[in-house]
Amino acid sequence: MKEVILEKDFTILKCLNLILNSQEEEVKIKISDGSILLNQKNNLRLLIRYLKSYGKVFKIETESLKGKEFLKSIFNEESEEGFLDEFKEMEESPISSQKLPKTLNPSKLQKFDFEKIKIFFSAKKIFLPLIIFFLIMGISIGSYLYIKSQNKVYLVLTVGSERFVKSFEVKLSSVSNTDLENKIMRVSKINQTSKIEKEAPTTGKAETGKKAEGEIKFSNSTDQDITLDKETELTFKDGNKDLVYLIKDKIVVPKRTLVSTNPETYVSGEASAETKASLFGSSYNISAGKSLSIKGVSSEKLKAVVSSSFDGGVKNTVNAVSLEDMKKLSDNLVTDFKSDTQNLDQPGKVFLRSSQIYNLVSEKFSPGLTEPSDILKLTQEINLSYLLYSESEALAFAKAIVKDLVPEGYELFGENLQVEIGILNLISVAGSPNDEAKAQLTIRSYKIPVINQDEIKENLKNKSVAQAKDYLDKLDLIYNIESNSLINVFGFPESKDKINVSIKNE
Amino acid sequence: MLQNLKQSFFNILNLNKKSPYFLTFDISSDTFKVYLNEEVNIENEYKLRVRHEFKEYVSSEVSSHGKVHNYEKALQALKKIMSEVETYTKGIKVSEGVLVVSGSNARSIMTTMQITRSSKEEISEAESSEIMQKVFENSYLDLSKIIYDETLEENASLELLDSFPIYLHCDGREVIDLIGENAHDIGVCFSVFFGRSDEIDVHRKLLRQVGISNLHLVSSNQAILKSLKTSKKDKIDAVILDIGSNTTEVIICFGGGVHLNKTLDIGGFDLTLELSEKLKLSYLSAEKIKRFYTFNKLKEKERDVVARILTYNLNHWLKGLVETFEDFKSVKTFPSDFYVVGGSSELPDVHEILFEEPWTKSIPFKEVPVYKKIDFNKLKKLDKAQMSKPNEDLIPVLASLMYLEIRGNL
Repeated sequence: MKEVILEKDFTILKCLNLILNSQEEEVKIKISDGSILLNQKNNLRLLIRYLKSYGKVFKIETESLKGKEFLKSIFNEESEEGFLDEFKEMEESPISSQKLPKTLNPSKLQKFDFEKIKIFFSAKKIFLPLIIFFLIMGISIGSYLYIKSQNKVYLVLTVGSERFVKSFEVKLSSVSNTDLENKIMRVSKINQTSKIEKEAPTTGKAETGKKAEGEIKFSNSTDQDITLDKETELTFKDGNKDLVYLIKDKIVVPKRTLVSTNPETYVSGEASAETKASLFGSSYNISAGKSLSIKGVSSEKLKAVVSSSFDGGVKNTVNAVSLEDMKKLSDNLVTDFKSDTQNLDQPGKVFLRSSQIYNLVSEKFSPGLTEPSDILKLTQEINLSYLLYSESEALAFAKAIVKDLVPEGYELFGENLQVEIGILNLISVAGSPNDEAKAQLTIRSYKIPVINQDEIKENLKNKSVAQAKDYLDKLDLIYNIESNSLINVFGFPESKDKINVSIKNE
Repeated sequence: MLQNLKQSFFNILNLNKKSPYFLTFDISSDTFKVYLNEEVNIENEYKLRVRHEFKEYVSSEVSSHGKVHNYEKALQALKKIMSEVETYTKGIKVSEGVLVVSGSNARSIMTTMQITRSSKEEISEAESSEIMQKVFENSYLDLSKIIYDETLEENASLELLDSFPIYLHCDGREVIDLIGENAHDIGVCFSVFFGRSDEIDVHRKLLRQVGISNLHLVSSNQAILKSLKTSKKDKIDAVILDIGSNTTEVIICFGGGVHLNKTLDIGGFDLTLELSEKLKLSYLSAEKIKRFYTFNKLKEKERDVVARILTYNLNHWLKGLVETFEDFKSVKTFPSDFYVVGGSSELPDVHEILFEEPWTKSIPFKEVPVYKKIDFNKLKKLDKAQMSKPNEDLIPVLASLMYLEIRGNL
């Protein structure tokens, strides 16, 4: 009967899964004090009904008084619901048990008719002594054979052992097959791409708002038309600060015109242009009449004066995405992912540490650099490739490698060697940095003399204890015979199968 | 007169100036969630606005199933959250709080009483209070018996949180108030809400230590029920399934009140833990995967693996749910209106399993259950502009709304 211990920090789901996943039909369940199962009666009832529905034979044991009371109460309830015939509550013991009735067969409950038996004996009085004699004989022979069949011997042989530790440099390859001669072991390479997300507050600052707009009048005092391109810069000196404005559209300021020859009088050519501030802010809201300088044109030739005051300029400072925010979030996300992928063992397969190669496939920030936002969100696609080896294949590989290193007459103790593989460096052969790896394979075990168990059993069968000891004394090992007292009556069993030999190393 | 003087005095000293914020605490599981709320006036109507949610994962070793297992670490986590709150509010200290009493800490019961009087004289205020007192005593005794049956706990310590009448009858007539009525026979029925005081006291002490001097307790049962009712007189019959972090609560409502609630000790946390073990991921990564899965953000292959683990474990959950329903011995037929709320109610498999599995066949529902969802958009007193995860935060938000209503602001 398999024993399952339900610890106090197990959830109900974990408890159920642990028991149901056990292949054994019979389970002994130990519920620790403080377990969630003892939080309320319903939890324990759920467990019991589950066990029944899966046809498990079970025993429940708990040290908790509350748990015992729950069990008693649940089994009483269940009995009322028709399980009475199959349930036997163990009052004295803390263990309660129950087996699910597959079918209830009423014929099993019929009683013997003692009256009929009585009549039979009186009618056949004459045969009674004979029947009793044969009955006693039969029982005696049967008992003798039964007791003899129970005669089993356990022989423990203790042999001198020597620690066996060997290390080899091997090559682990995901592209070549296992090759003992060249010490190449086949491993699997796993490639997986994960999409991960993370958010973080932004620390950058950005300016938002509106740019001031107004109208500028230009006066041309030359004899040539002057053309100003779109976005020509105009500057107003506000104390020490230069306020720069940009013309919205291309403009041609006509040349001056002669309006009188005597005296010679000219009128400057004039044109107006819609203009806006180059930056956000209310400081750009300047009033009409202010003079501005024009980039690339002398003020003697062309004058610029505000004809319609600038207004609407506003500036706000808000949180925004900075380059540092992006870098930090990206680094953190990769670091988180790396720490989440430090143990990638699979059932029967062992993950090779230091074999991981991370590749950032894509990275998307939302919103983008300098865009105003309190939060920066990052979505990354990371490709992870790593190497795995099969435990059973590694064991077979290790056994084959050390085969020639064990001297004749010796063997390695036990079926399972301890095999450790540690990566020395990664090798690229098919384009990826971790196609192969140079690694150190270490085997740990004990070397013991070869013991021919079959031969020992053959020599011991049917022997008396004294004969057996004589034989064993001649072998160069320590032995211990474990048996019930029947060995003194019957000696060693006739069958080899009833002699169990186990080997212990010193 | 005295009142006016007092008001003026406070006005001069500026002492009665209310902080614009209050906090709602949902701290019964492995993740502490604190909501910063304020009242806002939108087009001449006062509404609740949830300004920010502060979240701290403390692990089930510190807090789970409504119990605090490591007081010092729980205090540290709350202090951290309160410091974040202060940074967010730019130094304004918030001392007003609402504690959501939920899961196995929230217990509700409906109690009826029949009183035959010797004469038909007018019912006085004192007699009415005496009847109320008796109602509470009976509720407490009935609930204590139920708790004893569930947990073998004798004399469970319970704290009265709130109550409201389902009906008040005087000689067969329905009345609004007993006081002033003349009746020979009085019949009353009350929905009464309690909290487990041992656990609440620990939470209360924690919150006092982080500066919450004005704390109000709200039963999650009552807050959910209230959101379902269109008016105070709405005689709603419904089953509410609140899938929390550590528990799934089954709340049975009849006639507009909570008849009884029971708890199954399996919740969203348990599912995440199974995912974490099967996928060999940390708890927080598994929680992330579960969230991605909920919002259909996983690749097909990953989705299949997660779905397989969840479905397997949800089947255990469903069997537990059936057990919980069967434990409502006093309910002969269950209402067919079925509301599913709580953090894990968004998992697609929960809906699938509840809709498709014939699990309800063994439970006496009045009619085939009709699955319903609380419509966030119908909560008119809530400013939804800043809500990002409405369903996940539903219960704390409903508790905040209820608190503001009790305070008389909405």
